[in-house]
Amino acid sequence: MKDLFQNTEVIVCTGSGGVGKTTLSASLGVLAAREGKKVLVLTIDPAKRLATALGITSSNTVVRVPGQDFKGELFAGRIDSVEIFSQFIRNSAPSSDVVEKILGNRLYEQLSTTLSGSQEFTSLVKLYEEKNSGNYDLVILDTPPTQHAIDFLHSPEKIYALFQSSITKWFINNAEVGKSVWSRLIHKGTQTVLSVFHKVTGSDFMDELSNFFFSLKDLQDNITQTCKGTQELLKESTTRFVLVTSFDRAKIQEATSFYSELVGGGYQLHTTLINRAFPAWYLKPRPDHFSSEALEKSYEEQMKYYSARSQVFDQYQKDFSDRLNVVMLPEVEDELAGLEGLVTVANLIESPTSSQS
Amino acid sequence: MENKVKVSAPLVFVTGKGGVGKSLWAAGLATQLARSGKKVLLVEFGETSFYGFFYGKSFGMDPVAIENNLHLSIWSGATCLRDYIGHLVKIDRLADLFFENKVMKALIRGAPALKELAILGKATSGVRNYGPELDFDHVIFDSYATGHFLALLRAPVGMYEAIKFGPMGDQSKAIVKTMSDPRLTEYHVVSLLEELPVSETIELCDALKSEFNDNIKVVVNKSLRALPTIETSSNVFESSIQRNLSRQNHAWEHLLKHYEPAVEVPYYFESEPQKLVDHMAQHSGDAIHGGPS
Ligand SMILES: Nc1ncnc2c1ncn2[C@@H]1O[C@H](COP(=O)(O)OP(=O)(O)O)[C@@H](O)[C@H]1O
Ligand SMILES: Nc1ncnc2c1ncn2[C@@H]1O[C@H](COP(=O)(O)OP(=O)(O)O)[C@@H](O)[C@H]1O
Ligand SMILES: [Mg+2]
Ligand SMILES: [Mg+2]
Repeated sequence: MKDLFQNTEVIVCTGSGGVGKTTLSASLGVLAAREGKKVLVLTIDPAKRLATALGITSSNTVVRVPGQDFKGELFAGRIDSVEIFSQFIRNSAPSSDVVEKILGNRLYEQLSTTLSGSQEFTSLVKLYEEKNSGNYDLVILDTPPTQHAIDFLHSPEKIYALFQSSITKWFINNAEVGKSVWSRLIHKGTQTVLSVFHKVTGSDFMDELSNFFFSLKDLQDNITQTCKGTQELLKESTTRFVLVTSFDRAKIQEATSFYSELVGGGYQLHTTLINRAFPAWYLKPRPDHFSSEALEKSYEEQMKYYSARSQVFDQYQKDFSDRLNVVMLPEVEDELAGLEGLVTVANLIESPTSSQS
Repeated sequence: MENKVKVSAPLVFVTGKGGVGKSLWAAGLATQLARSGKKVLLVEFGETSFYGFFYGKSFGMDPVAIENNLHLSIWSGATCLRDYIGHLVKIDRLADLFFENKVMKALIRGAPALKELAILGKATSGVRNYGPELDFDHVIFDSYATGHFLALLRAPVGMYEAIKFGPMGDQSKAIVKTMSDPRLTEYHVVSLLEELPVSETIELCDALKSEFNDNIKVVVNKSLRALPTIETSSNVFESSIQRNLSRQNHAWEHLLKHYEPAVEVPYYFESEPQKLVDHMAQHSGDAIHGGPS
């Protein structure tokens, strides 16, 4: 596990929603700070208790985590997607007129919330910014909850494709010309496409969309640059991915294909953390006395269940151990409260089978 | 407890925090309804399939039979849009031209709200008598986790606010109307008895109630509450179970203050997919028909 932090400047924690990504990102931060790194953890929608533990308030500002005594230093921040998006526009627009035009567009609100990949995009924008600030040895990024771990990687591409100047120009030009009742000036194929689009969405929508693209055209260079920059950052040799996953066959299967996609795409997956894989009692010897027959039966049943699951894990471990670090983390029994809770999890990541207290 | 899962609406959207058991509940419920004689379509949202792995088959947009009366299909934004446009323009060649266009491709992949509208448009097309027919008594949607789900539902609301007229405005309005009608659409919110999922469930139910409709069923999953309680024990297993139990009871009390769960599903210590679905089906059946829980 230790070498995760060696020559590493960025760690991206991916995985589907609800698996413990935010908790484990913060715990990795604790581990790195203990090793002497100056580290920033960027969280997304942290649970209230976790936000409190990290000293994060509701704003976007980065804080030094209170009550720490590490060799290094731990900082934390929260990514507010909507705010970062509008900030991004403010920073990229050439004038305040343009900013107002964009923020006032009727589709803007839709864009900043339902544009697919917008949350991923803003978290990458924030990562890029913090990494380039040079303030930290290491930045750890918690990622938005996606249905599948891989969705995260495709988000800059999607945004990039949408804002390529050829696309925007096509749209602006044709929609403008198109307004004059599908002018014969347009290429025949284009005309057909436009008329289908018109049939589906109507002229109000098309007008609004072309206004939108028109007002965004000044940002294009910046969007393109940011998308390219973040994509490069994700592939840099100092960037490592950690996959957080829960423990069932479907998820392990998904982890396997995620691994191939990452490697195929030129990214580096360093570790898979299988979270809440088994209860703490699973590794302890069988108790010799039970309070009731029902409980004894339940013990046998659960034991059987967890050992069947660990066979799946053994197979995964066998398939990947030469290329990949796989760590199986137990269920933590005590409430995970405060910085102490994160330290408990950090200890488990370091040695998963050690006793919990 | 008294069970109150009666599936009254033709459209059922299953949602909840990631990993709480949405897919398994959706599959169990669909199986149960099918076994009781209803014609059921189970729909998975997304590009890659969980059920594909679960049932060991591959699925696409076209419904595939998995047992008597039960069909399964996977919908993505792109396939729904394709379906809808195919229906509108009637001529395949035109639709192809549209989808092969580079600009449209980029728009479809990324443009705001288009995919969401296409998915919900298709989901509600049967009951609205608009678009390609969906001939089923119930369609069960294994939909997105909380945040994405709300963004999905809010897309037509926002679109209607932005664009009142034309096909986009009309469709958005009709979709919202369907989603807000408790006779047509119900929501199943799956939750675990843990602090975070429970508070997420309460917030989600509040939002659904105030923004859409109140035909909401809270499904509590992976409950251990049927296990016997004991005072103290030095047995590691028993003390762990007790700790879990008290946490679950605590979460249950919290939930109960806001919403009464419609059904409580036990934790099945079983990893065989079909057996799990059968357990789920059995349990939701007992719940639906008021049998033993
Ligand atoms: N190994 C673990 N043992 C016990 N509880 C855990 C563990 N990992 C995470 N949790 C708990 O699970 C819940 C969800 O974790 P969170 O990090 O918010 O997940 P995500 O960011 O993936 O949605 C939190 O209440 C957290 O305390
Ligand atoms: N009541 C239950 N008992 C045992 N395992 C369950 C139960 N409900 C769900 N599971 C298992 O938990 C995991 C997560 O469930 P899943 O339906 O995939 O959740 P979601 O769709 O909400 O992400 C799966 O492995 C599933 O088989
Ligand atoms: Mg999180
Ligand atoms: Mg699922």
